[in-house]
Amino acid sequence: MNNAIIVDGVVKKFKTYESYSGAAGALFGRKKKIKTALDGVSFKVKRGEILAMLGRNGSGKSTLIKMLAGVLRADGGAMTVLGLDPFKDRIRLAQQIGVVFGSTHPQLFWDLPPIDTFNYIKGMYGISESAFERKLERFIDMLSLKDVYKRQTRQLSLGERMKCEFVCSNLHSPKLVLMDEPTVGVDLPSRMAIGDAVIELRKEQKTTFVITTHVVDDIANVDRIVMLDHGKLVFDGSQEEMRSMFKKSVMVELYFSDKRRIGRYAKYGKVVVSRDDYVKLEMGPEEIKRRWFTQMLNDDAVVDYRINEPSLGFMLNQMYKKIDRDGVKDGAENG
Amino acid sequence: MADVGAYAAAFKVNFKNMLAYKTDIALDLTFTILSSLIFVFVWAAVYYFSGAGTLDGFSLNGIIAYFIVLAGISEVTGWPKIINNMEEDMKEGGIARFLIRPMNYTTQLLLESLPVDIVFFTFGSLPIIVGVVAFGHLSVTPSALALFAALMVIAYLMINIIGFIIGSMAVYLTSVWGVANAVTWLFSLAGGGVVPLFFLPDNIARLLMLTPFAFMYYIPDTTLLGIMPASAALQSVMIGTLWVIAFAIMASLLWRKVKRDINSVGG
Repeated sequence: MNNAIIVDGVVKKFKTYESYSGAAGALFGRKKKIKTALDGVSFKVKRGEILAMLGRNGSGKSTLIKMLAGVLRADGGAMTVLGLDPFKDRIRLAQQIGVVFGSTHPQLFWDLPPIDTFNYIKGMYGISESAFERKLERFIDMLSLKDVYKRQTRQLSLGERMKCEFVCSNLHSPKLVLMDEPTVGVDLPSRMAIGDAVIELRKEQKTTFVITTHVVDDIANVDRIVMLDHGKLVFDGSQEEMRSMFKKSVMVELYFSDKRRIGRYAKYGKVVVSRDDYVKLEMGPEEIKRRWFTQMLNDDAVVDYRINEPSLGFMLNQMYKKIDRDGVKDGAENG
Repeated sequence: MADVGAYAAAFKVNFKNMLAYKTDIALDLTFTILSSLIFVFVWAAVYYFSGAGTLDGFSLNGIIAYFIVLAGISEVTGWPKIINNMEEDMKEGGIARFLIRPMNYTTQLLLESLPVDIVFFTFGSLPIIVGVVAFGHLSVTPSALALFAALMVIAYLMINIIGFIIGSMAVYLTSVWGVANAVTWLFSLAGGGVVPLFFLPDNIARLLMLTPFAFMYYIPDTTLLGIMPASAALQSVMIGTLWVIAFAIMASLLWRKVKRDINSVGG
């Protein structure tokens, strides 16, 4: 069995309630609405793969993570996680997976040091003393937790807490780790430490990771990206495949000694950023072969320049714009 | 199914976590006892102003003993501590952190509330009950003690299962605190927490004795004090066991539905 996860046409609907306007309206009732959080989503994740799940707030990422963890039940379609039905076989599946819920639903006991939660997990998953010691030492070293794990959780920074949450979800050597926005608000060194640990664990133990995130840096090392919007899968592919969709443009950054000259060149591309003596232009790759471009670079007023492919963040933003242009049907409907 | 080591680990960490709130727990414990003891003064005033030595055949000393024991019992049965975090878990999605562990949600909730109940029992119920038995010149028979213990276990299970049922309703209600307060108030009123059932008309008292209400206060209390005959207490153990089974089935059926309807928002 090569796939860790198979999601096949999964549907999830939530009941929500909307109050009638005004105090009298609120007194006499509320209107039930059905919100379609996931609308026929299908994809697979191979064992040992690192998958990033992207999408705007409310796109259905967290709902899908909770469904994969067996917390929520699918209203339609089918999914198997490590060969099990996550909702029906929740307890059996929980033995084999780890979940990080970001800072929203922490596993760490707020008033105790992380070591107490680690010991709890040791007992919960029946980890032997020697294996626990070995793994803990490894994580302490990997995530620089030496001066952290014995301090009260409430005294730790968000970054320190998230690194400890990561340990909680990996101490029992799960085959699959689901991470729901693990780096929101987390400082760069902690984010990088968690990212490196993901790579290490995949290399050492062939652990599969599914990571939802809004942080562009988090997806630098992932194997594949799936993107959700309004509960629908709108992209499933590698970073390269995403790049190829937007490779039609290059980003040209120009620094001028005389800002009055900016206007002369701005017309050749789409101005992305413009301030004082600086302009960032998006233009077709054929433009840089043109004569005006060589002239521009030789212009005395241009003191510095950079030509880049669009960044991952820029591409993602373009992707969102494309989705808005093409129009994904809104999942909300009256019920 | 989790093994003994998992339960032990969960209990240990929850016990340690509870100790972080020891001042809060101590104050809660003290004021639960004090609020129960208010009825000692209320009933002393009733006897004083009635001018009678006995009411319905019960002396003031007997009533004082009843309400002091009741103060001890209510430490365990007065409020289902299992409910404390359930609404938040259901509404704000905190339940997710329980459901990612290889253990039942109910078991985890019980292991979370058990340390507090143990502290309330050890430092609230036990000293009060031992004190009443030792210094109240009461002759408590071993069989009464055994039946009392059995009835306390029944009451503990019943109040927590009912608490779980109410807490589960958080999925459907905006707030469950109104329901929880109403139910505990009803238990107190109809279960002998305010007026001992022996003061009520016989047919009403007999009816209430069959309901879950009486198991929270009146039945264990009067069993320990020897007011209720052992045979009647034994019958109550059997009826109470049936109630526990009935509530457990109800809770299980409700949970089957609730877990399908959980939203677990946020993330």
